[in-house]
Amino acid sequence: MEMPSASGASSNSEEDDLTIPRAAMNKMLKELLPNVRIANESRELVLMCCTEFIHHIATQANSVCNSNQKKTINAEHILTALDDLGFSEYREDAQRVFADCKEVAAKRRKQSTRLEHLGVPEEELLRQQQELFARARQEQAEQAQQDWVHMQQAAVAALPAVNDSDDDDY
Amino acid sequence: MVNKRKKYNARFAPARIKKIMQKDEEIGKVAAAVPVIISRALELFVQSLVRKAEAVTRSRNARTLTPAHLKASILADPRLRFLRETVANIPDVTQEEEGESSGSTHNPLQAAVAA
Repeated sequence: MEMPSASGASSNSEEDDLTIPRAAMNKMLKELLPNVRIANESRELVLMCCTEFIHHIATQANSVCNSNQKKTINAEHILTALDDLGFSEYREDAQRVFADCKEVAAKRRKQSTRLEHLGVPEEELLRQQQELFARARQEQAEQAQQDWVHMQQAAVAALPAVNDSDDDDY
Repeated sequence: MVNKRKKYNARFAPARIKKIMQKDEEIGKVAAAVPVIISRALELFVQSLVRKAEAVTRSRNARTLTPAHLKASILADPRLRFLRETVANIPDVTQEEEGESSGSTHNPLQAAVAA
């Protein structure tokens, strides 16, 4: 099989899977046109159109992104792409969704810094932290003391016993 | 608190949309908000496409919305040129396919399709 296109390379079933989920689409169609019978072929065709629409917007947004010399496609690029492709009437909604996204992201950031979900009061956490610091300081002091003793012993051992094996001196 | 599964309340799952976007190898990294915004745009797009197709269905006194009706509404909208290839193999709406009641042979939509 010689299929030069990138899409032709992958298996057919994998390709078919990559559409908007049917259930979500059927639900929407039912809400949109509650009293109209919609042929199954029509449903499939709408799904294919959705995939094309996504690629259509993404491709345009990508070229906006490139011409702005950015590496990540962002919301502004999408808004511009919608304008470029004649879908300016979607802009307002898109912008509202973008605002919601920012809010959700901000909320999540706040949540993770506030440590609320730990259920431990902040003073208690602070106390525990101080305790850990103290223990660490003490351990370090002990270690330093021990090192010093070892050095002393090594120095003493090195003076008279030049021919002894240096590591174990007991 | 926000339901974790539906944090953005998007109708079409943003994760899926991102996957579809990145099926195109040209598409690299995408900001988190992008698939969510596209999800909303897609919703509006489907709404307009299906409503227009349904107008064709009605104008032909048909009871079922067929792919031909979708095709007719796609061909009638220059912004939807990117879908022409997708509907190239779909048959056009035909004269006799469904009972046209008052013999309105000068259906403007059909004229547009034939052109």
